[in-house]
Amino acid sequence: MKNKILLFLVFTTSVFAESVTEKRQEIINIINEEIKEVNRLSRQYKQKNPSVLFRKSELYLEKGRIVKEIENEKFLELSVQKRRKVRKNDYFKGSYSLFVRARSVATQLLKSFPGYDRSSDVYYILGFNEKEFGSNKKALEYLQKAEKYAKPGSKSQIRAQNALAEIYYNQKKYRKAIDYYEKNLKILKDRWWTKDAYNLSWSHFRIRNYERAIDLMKKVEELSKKPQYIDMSGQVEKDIGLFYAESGKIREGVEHYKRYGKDYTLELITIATFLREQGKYAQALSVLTEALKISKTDKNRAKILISRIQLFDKYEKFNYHLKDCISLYKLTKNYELTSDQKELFKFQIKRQVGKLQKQIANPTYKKSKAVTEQKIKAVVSYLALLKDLEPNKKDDSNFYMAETYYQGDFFDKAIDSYQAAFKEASKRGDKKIMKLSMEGMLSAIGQPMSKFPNRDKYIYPVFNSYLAYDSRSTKAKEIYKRLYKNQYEKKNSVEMKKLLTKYANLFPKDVKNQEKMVNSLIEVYNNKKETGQLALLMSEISDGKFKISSKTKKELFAVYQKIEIKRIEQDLAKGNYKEAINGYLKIYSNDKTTTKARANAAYNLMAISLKGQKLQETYNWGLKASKIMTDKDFYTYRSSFLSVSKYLFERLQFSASADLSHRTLGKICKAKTKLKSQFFNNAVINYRAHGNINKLKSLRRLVKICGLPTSSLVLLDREVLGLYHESQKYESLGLYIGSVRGNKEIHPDLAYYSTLIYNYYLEKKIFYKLKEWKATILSYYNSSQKMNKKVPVQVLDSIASFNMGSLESLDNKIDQVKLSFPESVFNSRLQRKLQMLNSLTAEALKIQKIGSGRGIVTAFEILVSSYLKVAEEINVFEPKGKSPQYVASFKKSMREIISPLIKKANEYERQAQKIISKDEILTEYKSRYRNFSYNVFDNMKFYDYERVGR
Amino acid sequence: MFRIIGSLLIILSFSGNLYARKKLSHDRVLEIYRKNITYAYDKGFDYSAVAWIKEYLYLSNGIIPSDMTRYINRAVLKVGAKNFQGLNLKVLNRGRGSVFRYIAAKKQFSLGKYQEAKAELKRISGNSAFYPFALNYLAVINYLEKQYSRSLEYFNTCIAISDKEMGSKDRDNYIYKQYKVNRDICIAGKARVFYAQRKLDRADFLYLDLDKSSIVWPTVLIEEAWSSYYQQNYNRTLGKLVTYNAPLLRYFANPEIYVLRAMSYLKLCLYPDVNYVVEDFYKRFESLAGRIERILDKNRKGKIYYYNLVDSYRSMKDQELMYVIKGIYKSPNIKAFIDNVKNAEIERNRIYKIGSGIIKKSLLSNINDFILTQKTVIGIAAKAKIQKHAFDLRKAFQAMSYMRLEVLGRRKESLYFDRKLTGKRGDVRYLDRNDKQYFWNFISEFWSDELGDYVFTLPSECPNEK
Repeated sequence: MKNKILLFLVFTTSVFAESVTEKRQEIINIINEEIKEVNRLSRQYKQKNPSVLFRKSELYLEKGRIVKEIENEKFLELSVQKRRKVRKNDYFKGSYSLFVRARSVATQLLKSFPGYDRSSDVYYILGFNEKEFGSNKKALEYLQKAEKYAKPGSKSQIRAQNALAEIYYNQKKYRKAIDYYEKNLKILKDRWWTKDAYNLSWSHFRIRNYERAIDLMKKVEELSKKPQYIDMSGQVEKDIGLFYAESGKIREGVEHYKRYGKDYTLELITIATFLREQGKYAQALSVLTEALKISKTDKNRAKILISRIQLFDKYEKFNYHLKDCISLYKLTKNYELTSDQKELFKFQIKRQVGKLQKQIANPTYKKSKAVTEQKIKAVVSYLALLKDLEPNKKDDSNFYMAETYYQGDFFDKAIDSYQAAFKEASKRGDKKIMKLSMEGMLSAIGQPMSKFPNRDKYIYPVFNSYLAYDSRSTKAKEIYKRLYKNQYEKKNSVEMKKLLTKYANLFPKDVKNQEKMVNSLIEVYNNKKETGQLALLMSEISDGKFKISSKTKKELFAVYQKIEIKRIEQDLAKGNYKEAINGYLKIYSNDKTTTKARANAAYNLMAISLKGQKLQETYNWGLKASKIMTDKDFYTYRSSFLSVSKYLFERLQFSASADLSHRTLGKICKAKTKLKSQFFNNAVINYRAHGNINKLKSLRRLVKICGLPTSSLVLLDREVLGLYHESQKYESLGLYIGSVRGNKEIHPDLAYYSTLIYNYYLEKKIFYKLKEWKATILSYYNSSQKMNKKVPVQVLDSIASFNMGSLESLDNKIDQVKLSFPESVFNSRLQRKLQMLNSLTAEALKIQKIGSGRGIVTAFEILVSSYLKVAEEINVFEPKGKSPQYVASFKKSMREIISPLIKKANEYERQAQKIISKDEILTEYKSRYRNFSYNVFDNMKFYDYERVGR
Repeated sequence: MFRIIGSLLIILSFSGNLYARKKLSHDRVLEIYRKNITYAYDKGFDYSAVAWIKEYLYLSNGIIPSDMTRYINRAVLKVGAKNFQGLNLKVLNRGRGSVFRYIAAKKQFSLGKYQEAKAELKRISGNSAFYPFALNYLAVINYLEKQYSRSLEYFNTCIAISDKEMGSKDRDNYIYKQYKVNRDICIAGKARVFYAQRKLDRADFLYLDLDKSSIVWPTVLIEEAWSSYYQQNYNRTLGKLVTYNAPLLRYFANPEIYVLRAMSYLKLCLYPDVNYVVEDFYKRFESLAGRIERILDKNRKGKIYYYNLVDSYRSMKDQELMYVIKGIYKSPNIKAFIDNVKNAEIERNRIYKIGSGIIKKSLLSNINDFILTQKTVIGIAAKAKIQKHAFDLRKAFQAMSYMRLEVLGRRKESLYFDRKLTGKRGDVRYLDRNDKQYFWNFISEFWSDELGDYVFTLPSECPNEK
């Protein structure tokens, strides 16, 4: 019981009868329970029983197959369109996962239990699993292993071999399949014998071993009657006729079918149909011919003839086809075909007509006129049959006839037939045929002369009859167009104009085609130089007589203007400036003129004005041109504008020059050109020259926008600062200084102008401002020092003077220390004085480092004076009430101090003079004691920025 | 061997002093043993004497005087021959008297040497107390050798002689019970011979001869069930098996009962019943199997542990496990040793009361050794039985799963091939009785007298069954 395999169940799901769905579900439920039980069982073996694993694998495979059937049904329920769009795999996920599990368990089994005695069965399972995956190659490999590892002659081996036989059969390796089947069918005769023998029979059939194939089929049929075998009789009944037919034993086949007690004519027809479906037309035909011979009823004959004409159709035997059609037609006189048959008959006739028409049209067949004519005759015959089969459509035949002629390139005959069809259809009111006939005629007319030599003879009659039939339709439109095209080819502008006028009246809204017509007419006018007609046409277009799109209208006007400009250029070349100016003015002032043309006119007017040295007009036209020219055009002509700007500057037209430079800069702001800096500098210089401080300031924002170099900004800021200073606007100057704080390059300048403001407030005695500006000066001074930038001397002077206070205060303090006796007091005070003198020296040296001439001179003056004062004070001091010896001794001692002090004072004085001389300190110096000063500029007013910091 | 020397050393340890002073002769030593044994015999210290007897037999090389043989006979009958099977065969062969033949035969039998065992058994005197047991052994050996007619003869004689011996003994006599068990085994043995010969009807009749109070009966019951199964009398099989549901027999926790029940239902195509039995079995015993396996895993070497487990089965909270252990406790082999322990313990209490001295010390040492040995043997046997039970459970689970798969397979097959699966249940006409059985209506009550004789009335539901 343990080892009982349910393999046979695994592969018999197709045995299901009715209520398949319910059964399937029930079986799936059972399999689920089985899987659960097998898992429980496996647990009892601690997962170490290969047979249980094998059973598990089997169950997954079995379930997978059933699930796949369900999934397949669901998939097939989808509409064809949807089925094409979806991913097929998505519909087979369930079964796929089960097959994967089956495979995984089986492969794990083989891996864990390499010596498993039923490995053959495991391979068999794996083989079938792979078949389900659609991997026949792998399936074959596994099944071969299954065969190899099975005990010879065992059921496992037979099963594997039968499976291999099936695979070989599917791979069309029939001989191999036969070997396997034959081998096993001899050994084993179980319930599947009939099924396997049936497959074997087919294998023999495939290798044309018909005798054996038929014998086997008979045997299968016989055994199928027994309950212990699978019943394959249905399949046998279906196939055996084919086997007989294929082997040429039609009679035996007939005999065989006779035994079923059925109408074997019908069976023969079935066989023939089957053969036909297999593409075996010859055999099918021979079976039908046989059937026709034995057939006694019109009903069956009709069936046979229907089948035969289908075969002849496949065979492309139209003469036989026609013959059978005629026979069938005759049959219909006494026998009513079924509606399906009738439809099929008509379909065959129409199909044949269609095919013949195609052949007639095919160049291969056109080589022989006789053949073509023969085919045309056949078509005529078919149409005659059809006329009778479709009495309500009799009049169509002329039309089809015409079509046939058309396809045979007999266009004149075709047109005649079309016209006849048209007339008949008109009578009947059959608009469809009328329409089709007319289209046919038009199409025939459309053929080239090479194919239809006497075409012209037909054109106008056909077109006119068409336009009479229909003047406003789309087709009519086409005809007009074709007539127009015809005239265009002849360059007949008069006829073209007439047709255009007519067309515009009939199809006023068809702007597109009117436009095309107008264009081609202008082209003809141009070529023929009919300028008068052209002007007339332009005015008619303007008046709206012909409708064209505004865009085209503009384009046409542009073309027209181009002609005008050409003329002006010719005037210019000849030196007729007046006419040229008038011409350009006309273009410039016309509303319809394109911007480009207007810009061009303005630019040319600027150029002409420059040539005529008309400054204001040059500027005006330049301004207008710059306003309307595109940036791209402007960029192209930038050098011209630079020249004009320079020209204006040279003629002291600062404002105009600046304005033009400013505008030009705006136009080419984003372009990459060095000229931008030039325009900027020009604008700066001209605005400065003109004293227009606001405009000058307005340039500042362009520096960043147009990506100009820093030097441009430096230039601009210096000019603005200078201009403010010049115009004595210290308040505004102060504000501007604050606003350009970010421009570090000009911090020395800012320090300088801050000094000026400081001095201004000092002079005006507006003291409360001084603190703020002192701080500003120090800030810019320090910033400049950090950047190693030289600052103007005026700034240095200011800085030095700011430090001078402490020096003077120290000097005063030295004075205040008075020498006196007793001796100890004297010594202490003297020491204090000398210490203070040292501090004073250090302070003076600090001021010297600032570099201000004025500061140095003042500091040294104080220093020298202080040294001398101390020396003098010591010198004059005399202790009171002391002996002369004491005094003498005291004096002697004091001389030793005085002497170096004086020496030091002299040394500092020399040093001061040396610094003044060396550094060319241009500072007015008024000494309290001596006059050190020389080389002094008094009230130097002009400030040259280039000299800053020297 | 070790134990003998051990015991010897104990004796010599206190007599060793004597040796030290004055070396004893071999004869003197034997004399001391003889005196000791006689003392124990007289005082009824049978269990304590076992060690001295074995040592005496060893030292005397089996050559002993007849009075000693009498003592040995009683000792073997009381404590069981198994306690003497450790003796060397040379010693046993030299020994005169049936008791030596019987011990030697048992030893040869356990070694699988049936011919040698048979030769020894045939030398046992018809007057010997061991004769009925010897007949049982001879019958079994012939049965194993498939000499069924001889086997039957021996069994018949065994039954007759055992009956006779029983008749001559008082019911309370310690040996009466042994003869009774021996007789019942021989009755069952006879049935088994017929069963082996596939004379199932005759086997059935013989099974009915067995008294239901016999310790052998529960074991035999399942054999009867199998017999009925092989006679395709599945209803009767089920009837026999339902007896095991009786509270009295709950301890008989043989998984085979469930397997056979499921198999019978399967044979009757009563698939829902098969499923019920399978599921019930899994539900009841799957976790028990795990528990048992864990016990075995944790206690691989502890012998006394298993003795304690068996000894304390009454206080177990886990009822299913308790039934298993109770079954082991009640099995004849184990039971004999358990009785030995109990009796030895009583004897020990008596020894405590005999004052003091060398003899008391020696007796206590002997009795303690004896008790320990009995417990160890019980522990080993119990462990083996628990292992077997765990193994049987796993096997039963496997069998159950296979049966369930079979049922599922049949259900599936019926769907695939559109076949009928089950019919409807029938009635009393399916009863199959004989004159020794009496009709028993199932009323969920069990009476000891009625156990094992009721028959199910289930019809087969197999589609091809008429």
